[in-house]
Amino acid sequence: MIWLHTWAGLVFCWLLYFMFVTGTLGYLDSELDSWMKPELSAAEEVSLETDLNAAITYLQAHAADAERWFISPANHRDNPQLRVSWRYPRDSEKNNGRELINRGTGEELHHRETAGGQTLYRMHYRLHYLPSGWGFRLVGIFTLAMFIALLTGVVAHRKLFKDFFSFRPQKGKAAWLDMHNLSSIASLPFQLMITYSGLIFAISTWMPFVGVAAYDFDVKSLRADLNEMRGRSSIKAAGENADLVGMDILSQNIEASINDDALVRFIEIKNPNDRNAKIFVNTHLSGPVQEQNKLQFDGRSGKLESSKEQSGALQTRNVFINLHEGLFAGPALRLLYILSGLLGTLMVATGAIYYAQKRKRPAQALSKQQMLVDIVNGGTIIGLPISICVFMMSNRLLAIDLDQRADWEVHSMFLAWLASFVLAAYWVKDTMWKKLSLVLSITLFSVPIVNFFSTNRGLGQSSWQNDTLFVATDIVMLSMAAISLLLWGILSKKEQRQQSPIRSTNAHSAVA
Amino acid sequence: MNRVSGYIRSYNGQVLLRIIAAFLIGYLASNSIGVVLAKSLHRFAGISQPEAALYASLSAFLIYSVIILWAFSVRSQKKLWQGLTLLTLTLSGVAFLL
Repeated sequence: MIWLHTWAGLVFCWLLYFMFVTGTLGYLDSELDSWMKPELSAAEEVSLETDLNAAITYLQAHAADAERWFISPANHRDNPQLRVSWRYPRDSEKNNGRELINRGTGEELHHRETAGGQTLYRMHYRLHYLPSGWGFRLVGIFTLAMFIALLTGVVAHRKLFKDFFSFRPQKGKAAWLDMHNLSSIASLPFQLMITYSGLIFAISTWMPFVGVAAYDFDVKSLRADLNEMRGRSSIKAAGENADLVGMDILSQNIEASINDDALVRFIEIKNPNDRNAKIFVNTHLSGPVQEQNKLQFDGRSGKLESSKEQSGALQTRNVFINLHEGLFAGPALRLLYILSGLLGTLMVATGAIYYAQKRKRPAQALSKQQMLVDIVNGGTIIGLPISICVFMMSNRLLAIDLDQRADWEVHSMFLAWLASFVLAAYWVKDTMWKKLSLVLSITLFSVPIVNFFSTNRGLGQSSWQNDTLFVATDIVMLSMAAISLLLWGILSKKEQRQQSPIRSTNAHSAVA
Repeated sequence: MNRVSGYIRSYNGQVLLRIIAAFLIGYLASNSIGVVLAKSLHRFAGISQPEAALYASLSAFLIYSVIILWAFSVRSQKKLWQGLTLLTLTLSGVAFLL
């Protein structure tokens, strides 16, 4: 049982660490997407009408018979390019698709096939290599465990302020505990918010019964009511052709109906080219509370049809979801989100290390189980960042015309992670942390170098051309490489000190 | 049989029992609280049916977490099982009648 407890606790730690790292990077998903498509630079912002015209021309030519069209104008960090996607009914044999559009030519923008930042972000909530649905279910359980851990953690550290100010860097194990407390308390409001809102995502998976039973098990009318609440109308196609409204009229009507400072996030056209065509407009969030609802326009006349008030319950739910996703966050708030995410990562990592350290006895050989815990600790805590660097480098190094290139980027990431475990196992007896830190430093350092040689957006050129995204990525990589090198230096020094004779007599006397 | 009852009386067995009570019975209990909450919000507070269902669902995980915390803080194992079972059964009955 103790065995089970040890392992259950640690497995939770490792998966939570994975969720924290990929989730924190998720606040930079669009940026990572752009980094992994170095052929493209952000499109210039033009009028809504120009974007809509280019998108509609493309969709009419390539997916005129689709059930729904989606158009995202290039006007936001989330949409550096004009993007279209289209969906057929579920029983149709035709394939759904999505493309970035070049407004100049009206055709697809060509770029390397890549998994991009979105794939990494999706791992945060549905893991990878698992049958669909299972990852999501597992993540729900881990989120609940995290929430319980937070609540019990608060109870355990009732003297929050005292714990907050005690840091004993010289004291070995106590230092890990202090660091754990420091990172948790400093970011406690964020952790509570992010975990509870994470649970809100899991309601339909793990708590469906409440709603279903409240409707006396009439699932059909529950679903209908929820859809109506969300403004998802069930407008069927009439089967009669009709011309879509001109984009000049539509864009004028849209701009007249949305708030002055609002930007169109995406436009959905249901049943295009049909008599019952409807156009829905979503705007970018400017805060966690959505000020404006989805607007509905008629597809033929382009007239505004309705903008229903959102219900209080749905508003409440959306505030949680919006706070979690942070899509509304500008650069400063986004930075705060990332820092809080990093503190959460640190909280989980230091917790796992403290857990392992606490069970060690000085001058006593590690048991098999302790060794295994150390291997997985090292392989996860340092191995995951290594593997993400490899993921980024594989984007540059894999052959451009490789079959299933995007999948291979992800495979490279997980192979590198596996390799980190092997290295951790090889070094576990003495100097694992030190050597893994050095490997991490080298890998981090390699990313800007590989980028320099494989694109024309290396650090020199990108800083010359004010290419903010690429300069920032390189600088972040180099500084993290420096930090891990520093860590390597500290651990090497510590090792030397431990090997000196005075220290070893101390250790002996401690045993005696 | 002896070994099973011996295990249950041991420290680990007690922890296992508590885990089962907290997570399984607690899950049932929190669902029944959620349903009663949804139905009474609709019936007595005049909130529309879908809204009431959504509000109750939003609080379901909070209720569940509080039950789990309680299950690990209450001293007597007997009180824990009695309390949770009674709560679940009563509230399921209330939910059925509402």
